[in-house]
Amino acid sequence: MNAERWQQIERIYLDVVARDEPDRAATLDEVCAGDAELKREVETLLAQESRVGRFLESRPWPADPAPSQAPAEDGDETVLAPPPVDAAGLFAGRYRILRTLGQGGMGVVYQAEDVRLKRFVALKFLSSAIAASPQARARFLREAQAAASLDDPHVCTLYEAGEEGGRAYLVMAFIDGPTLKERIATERLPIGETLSIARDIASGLAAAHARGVVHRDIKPGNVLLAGLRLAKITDFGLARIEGATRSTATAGAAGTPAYMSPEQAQGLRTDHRTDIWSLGCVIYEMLTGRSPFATSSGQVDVFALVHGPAPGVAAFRPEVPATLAAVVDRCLRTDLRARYQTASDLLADLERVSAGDTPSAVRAVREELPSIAVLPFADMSPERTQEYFAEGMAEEIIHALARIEGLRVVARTSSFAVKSKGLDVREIGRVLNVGNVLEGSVRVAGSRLRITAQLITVDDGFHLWSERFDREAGDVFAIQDEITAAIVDRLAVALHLRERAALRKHRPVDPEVYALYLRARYFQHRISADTVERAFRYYGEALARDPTFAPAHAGLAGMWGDLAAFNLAPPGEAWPKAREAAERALALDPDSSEAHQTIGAIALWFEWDWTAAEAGMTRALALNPGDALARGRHGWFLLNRRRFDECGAAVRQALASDPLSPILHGFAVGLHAACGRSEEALADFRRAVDLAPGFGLPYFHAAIAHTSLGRLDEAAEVVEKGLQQGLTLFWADCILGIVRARQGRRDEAAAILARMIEQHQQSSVSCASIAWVAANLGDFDVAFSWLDRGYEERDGLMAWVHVYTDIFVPPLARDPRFHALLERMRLTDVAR
Amino acid sequence: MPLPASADVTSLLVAWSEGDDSALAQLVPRVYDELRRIAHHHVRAERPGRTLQTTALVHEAYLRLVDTRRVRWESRAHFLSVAAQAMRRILVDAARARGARKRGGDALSVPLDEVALLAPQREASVVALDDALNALAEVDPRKSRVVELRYFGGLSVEETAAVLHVSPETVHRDWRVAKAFLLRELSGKDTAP
Repeated sequence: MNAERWQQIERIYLDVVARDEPDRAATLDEVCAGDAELKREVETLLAQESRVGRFLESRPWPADPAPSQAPAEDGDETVLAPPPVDAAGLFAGRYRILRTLGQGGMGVVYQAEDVRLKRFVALKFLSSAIAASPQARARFLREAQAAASLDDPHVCTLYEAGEEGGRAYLVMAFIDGPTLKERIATERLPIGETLSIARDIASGLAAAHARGVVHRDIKPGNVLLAGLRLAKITDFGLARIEGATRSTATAGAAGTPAYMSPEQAQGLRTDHRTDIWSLGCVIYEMLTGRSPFATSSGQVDVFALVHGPAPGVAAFRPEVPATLAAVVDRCLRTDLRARYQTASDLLADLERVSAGDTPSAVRAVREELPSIAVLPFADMSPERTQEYFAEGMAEEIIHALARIEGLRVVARTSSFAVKSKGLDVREIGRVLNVGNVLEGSVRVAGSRLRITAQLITVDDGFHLWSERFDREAGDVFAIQDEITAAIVDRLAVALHLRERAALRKHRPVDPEVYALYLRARYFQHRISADTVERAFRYYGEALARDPTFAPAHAGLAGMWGDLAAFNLAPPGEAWPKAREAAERALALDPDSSEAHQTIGAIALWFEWDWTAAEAGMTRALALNPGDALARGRHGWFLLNRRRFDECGAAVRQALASDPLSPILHGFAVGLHAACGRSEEALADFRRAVDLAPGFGLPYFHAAIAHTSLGRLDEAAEVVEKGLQQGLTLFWADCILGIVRARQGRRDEAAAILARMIEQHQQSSVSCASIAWVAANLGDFDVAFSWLDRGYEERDGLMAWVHVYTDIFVPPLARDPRFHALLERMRLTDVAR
Repeated sequence: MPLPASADVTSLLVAWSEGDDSALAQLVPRVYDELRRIAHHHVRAERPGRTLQTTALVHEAYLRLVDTRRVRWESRAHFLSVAAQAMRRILVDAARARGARKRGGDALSVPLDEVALLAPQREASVVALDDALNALAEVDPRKSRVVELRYFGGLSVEETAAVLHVSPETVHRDWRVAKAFLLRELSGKDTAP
């Protein structure tokens, strides 16, 4: 058998094995076409079928038991032996052992009573090797002295260190509470609790480092939780004492501890910055439930540990504010100089995050991460008919790059917006806050394709890379892959394994189907009554040619979702269509971030299934962290949950990656206003108006911000201005009705209410907004009838009825009927 | 015996990553020695009842042999590839030695404790698997490497894909077909491991 023959055998084997049993024999006969030898070869392979599954799946030697957890890891039997007590039942003449608190690598810990001082203590026994060697004993006492000098609310106090009956022991304050390890064993912690515990540990470390004491073994098992959130670090100095008696050569293969810094793992010199690393790992685990360098089998990936970077926490918990994610990231820098230099710096940043301010780490990240804007390619075709294709190339490259965590990519809207402004590369870099720009051109002539691309550094205009591709139309994916690979390579982006795999995930597709798809996208991005029909038509044609092309189903789903969300189609019809298309897309490609995002949006705006909304949106963000619109929509979900801080962080992060997007500016105004950050909302409003004065949505939300600040005249003024600039009448009516009623101009308010009710049918005026105007006029009965109707008709604003009613008519929210409504909507958990 | 200084392995690894194939020939024996040394150390020093894990051994060897400040992340793939080859040879040698010792010979000087630790229960099957892999490499070298990396190197599908510069789907497919091939080779000769 030669290689060629084998390839033939393999091909047939794969073909046949993919079929159901009854069809196999017939298929085999057919494809072998009388070649008996070939048939026999394939049959003997097929005969192995029942054994293939389990063969070679176990390790070459017996399986390893789960690492660690074994009592007394160092195998020192004496540590486990019960402590020697005198006739009175006391150890060392004063401690009555009450119960075992725990056993770990260091030995056994007991709760004991100090009969002399009448207090509970924790009594810990260490390896017998310490008592045996004079050097180890001297070192033990020296370290214990240093640890005993620490007096800080976040450090567990060391009372005494001694030897008794050949056994070294420590006496510490007894903390009546679980370890952090126990606390995180069952669930990921809320962001607030994580911050509080992290601040305590950082504060304890800062105090210890100030006295020259380094812990070297910060891990959840060494953090005790006294009271609800008060965290205390225990076992200071022990790592060094124990380390001296333990062979470090065995540490690695015994299961490298998950919290060890790279310098520790490599046996290099360590200083206080090793504790900062370990604390970063602990925060990471509180947030995500996993160690930053865990592999799928639960081991620690040493390669990732020493080379970095750790995948960002957002990959496992997208709702973590970007500010906090940046702080964790900065703790986990392989390069010591890039890490926080002191625990106090880290503490200061944690406090900034808690207060909703920007930590220093965010600025550091912005400066350090390579960044790029991909401009739309220029259409160089003879008739200039390929603009859709030129844009599509850039969009696909943006989409591929946005999945990479180690690269900051400006989103489509903003990248494309600068093109029309005629800016030079340096100005583009400044406007979009990026270091590099990719630009190029496309020329299509018949089936031939010519694409050029240049990667340019904005600071000096230097061409890092440029290439010209003369290929067949069918090679378009290969060209996109080559361009993304060149960018990743030239910008020296660090890639995770899964990102590497994702970059290569391209299925072959008919170039014509792809061209139709790009045309559809082109019109989808310019959504209006005129373009919708064309976008639908091209999606339809693409799917008629290839019904299995998942991106077209996902695009269709997204378009139905946009139509529903912007009231361009009746939501009751559009959302179910969006769901149908999204489910089709997911059946073909379970990793379609666009389809997951649409499913999340449907659940939030239409189905009011908050759990499904969170699942869809976080999955979409995990698959594509750079998707600014998805992050903005996630902000609306967070508003529904009243997670105001996270909501603000989400929309700020979305704006950072898409700084010129009118929609996201509209979102920012709306979300900040609803969260009570009126000033920030109005600042974003001014930018939104500069950017796209004809876009109506921000005016509506700015009026809300003015209303909640009690500035009714300004609110009315903004609405009037908005009406001249494309703000839809019924949105204007909603806010103006409320404002007029509050100003005491009841007749005007009543007229507005009448108009809204009259137009409700034909132009889908929001039922909830009618209710708010009626309630401001004092008519709660009418208000509740419209809220009921909003529930029945699945009015899109109802998802935030609890938040907006608090702003527009607080007394309405105190009516028992309101509580009943919230129960129906499963919103009582987030009601005030 | 070449110097075991970590700088040497690092330089070789860099050279090999940059296309110097002769470096590979020197790398494998050093990684082989180091893996055996670590395994040997564990046999003596470790707790009873605990067995070794391929991944942990390979990781430890990496930390001990390679100066991580001098290599790029990409060296991971190259090192894993070398380590998988070395692991395969260690296991096959151990199995042969055990077999030889049973028959009264001692042709290979592999220490007894190490053999006891490393050799699988049915040593003949590892030797047969090694032969079958060689046969597979004749017609389809990539599939043979997939098995080497996955089985002997302990690599996951994603890691294997990264080392070989193919997609994870290809690894899945290769793995399945390779196993059918190997099972067929082994059937009639010896029972599978």
